[in-house]
Amino acid sequence: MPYSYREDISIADAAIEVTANSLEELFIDSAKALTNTMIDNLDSIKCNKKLKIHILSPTMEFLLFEFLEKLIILKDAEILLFNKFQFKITELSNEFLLDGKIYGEKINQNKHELCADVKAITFHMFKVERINNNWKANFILDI
Amino acid sequence: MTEINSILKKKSNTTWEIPITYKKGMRVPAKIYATDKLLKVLDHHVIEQITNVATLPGIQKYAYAMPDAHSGYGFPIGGVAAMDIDEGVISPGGIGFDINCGMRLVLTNLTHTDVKPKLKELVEQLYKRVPAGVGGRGFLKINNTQFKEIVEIGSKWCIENNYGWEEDLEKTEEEGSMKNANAQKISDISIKRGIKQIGTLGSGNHYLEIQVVKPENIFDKKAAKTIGIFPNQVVIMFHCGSRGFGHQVASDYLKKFLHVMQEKYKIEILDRELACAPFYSQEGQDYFSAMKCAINMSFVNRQIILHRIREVFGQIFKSDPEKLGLSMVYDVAHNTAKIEEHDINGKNKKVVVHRKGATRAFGPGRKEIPQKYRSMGQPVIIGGSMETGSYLLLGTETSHKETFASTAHGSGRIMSRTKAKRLFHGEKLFRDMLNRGIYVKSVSYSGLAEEAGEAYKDIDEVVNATVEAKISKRVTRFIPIGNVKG
Repeated sequence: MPYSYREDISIADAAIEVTANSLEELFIDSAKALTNTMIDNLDSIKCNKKLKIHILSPTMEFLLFEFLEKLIILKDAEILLFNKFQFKITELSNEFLLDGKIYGEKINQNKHELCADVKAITFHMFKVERINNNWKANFILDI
Repeated sequence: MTEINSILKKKSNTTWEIPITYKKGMRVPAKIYATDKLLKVLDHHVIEQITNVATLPGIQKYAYAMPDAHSGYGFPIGGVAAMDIDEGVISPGGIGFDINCGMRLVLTNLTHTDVKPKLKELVEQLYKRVPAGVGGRGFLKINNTQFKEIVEIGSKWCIENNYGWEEDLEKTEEEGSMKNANAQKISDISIKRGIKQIGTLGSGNHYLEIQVVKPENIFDKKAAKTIGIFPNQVVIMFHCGSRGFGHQVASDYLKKFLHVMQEKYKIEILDRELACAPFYSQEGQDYFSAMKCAINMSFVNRQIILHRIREVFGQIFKSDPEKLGLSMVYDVAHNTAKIEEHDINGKNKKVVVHRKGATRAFGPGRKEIPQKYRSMGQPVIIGGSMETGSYLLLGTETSHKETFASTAHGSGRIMSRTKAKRLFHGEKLFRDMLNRGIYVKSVSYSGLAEEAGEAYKDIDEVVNATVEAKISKRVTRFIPIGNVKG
């Protein structure tokens, strides 16, 4: 499993650790971890809604932060949860770009086995790091 | 425990101090309110966080942790800190993402005998009419302009639009409206997040509960009578906040503050979630105005939910909600920053009191308290887990001296959500509760497992600590019989 939920910290919320071989994978698995906090079975989300996504950020770390925040915003604003992600992350001269598409479905409480609602992505212990050829992210979601 | 004991200095049976020398940068000591029993289950991150709070510019007297404290971000949940209004800061982390998460208590003139045969129907109907959980949408169809009006006016908008009674305003903290809330200071994104959510519960530890007053649980008979509480009475208590709107206001300003804090104001902090700005800076004032919008939205949220509760009870008991006695006791806010005057070293001083997972507990005589309760003190509602019960208390004069008129807000967690989901089975929990006479309707069994009673501190012990420390006094305890959870 590319992500795990830590039990030792942040007892009121969801503390997540993600590891991946590439940056895009790290972002995708972080998004899945976020979604999995809100829904037990990710596969129950059909990909019948497609949205473009385009985020510019001054740092890689902040890019992940804003990406996860975007998904939380869309959950409330558009009542959508996402399960498929296709994008590229590019390092520009003094910022980072995430550009692509995300796929999901309108939330249906009768169909989706939902868990706790995520209020926000926090800065608490938020970290993105490269370890040898792999990537690791740690973040906490406010429930 | 040994490690915590070596850090804390016991001052009384319910107060412990951490000296200013514990950590570099502390401007005041920290004070933790807890019994010995609560100290044994204290999340040790609370120590780290409350001593970080003690480093914030302008902090007065102490950084406080209430008996239900557990770790949060920046401030612990159950944290209280008052900052000098001229020289101090305002910190979104000292209020929390769920701005004005709070509690409302509502009476009925029904007894347990009246409600028992209709309990399942009541809970099922409340579940339908008060949306909860991820994706829950309210019934109000409003546009951006109306939303902005709502967040500036607060509960009064509900009364003007027939979603409440005039008397509800007086029984809400701030009369349901923080003055000078400015919708110019909120983002379009925050409106988009919240506009469909007015009248919804949320999830996690948010709930709508039907409760009973057992005769042996009325501790202050005189106060209970004044408030309108009687033996075997059924009451309704619910807990929710400003939903996605408030969460986004907090996120927006946390990012803004991080951006300006060091470069512009030369403020160094030990934790990014303690991001802050001088209270009277442009950024500080913008956040204060936006925060007030979120506080107002939360009051409106709870007012709309009350409207739905009255509708459901009226329909099921085939009677007018007024005839059923569905009047409010009070509505308290847990996560706010307010300008208050308090005695500091013998002088009355204006401070910005940050309460994060803590309840205001004004003592007798304060003009902010509704006339009916003024001689007794402000009603304080402290919620327990869905399996245990909750309390109604009153604020005290001592709380002003001790904690900037603050007290606990709930049980406080002792177990992570992940661990609770691993240890407890939602469906079994549902059946166990049913066998004990509690009918719960939840959006998911998974969410229910996270809220198991064993994941929380002992509410009786938390309340004991507040009473022994004289920062609140008991009126009544309530037992749950029906519950709606997200």
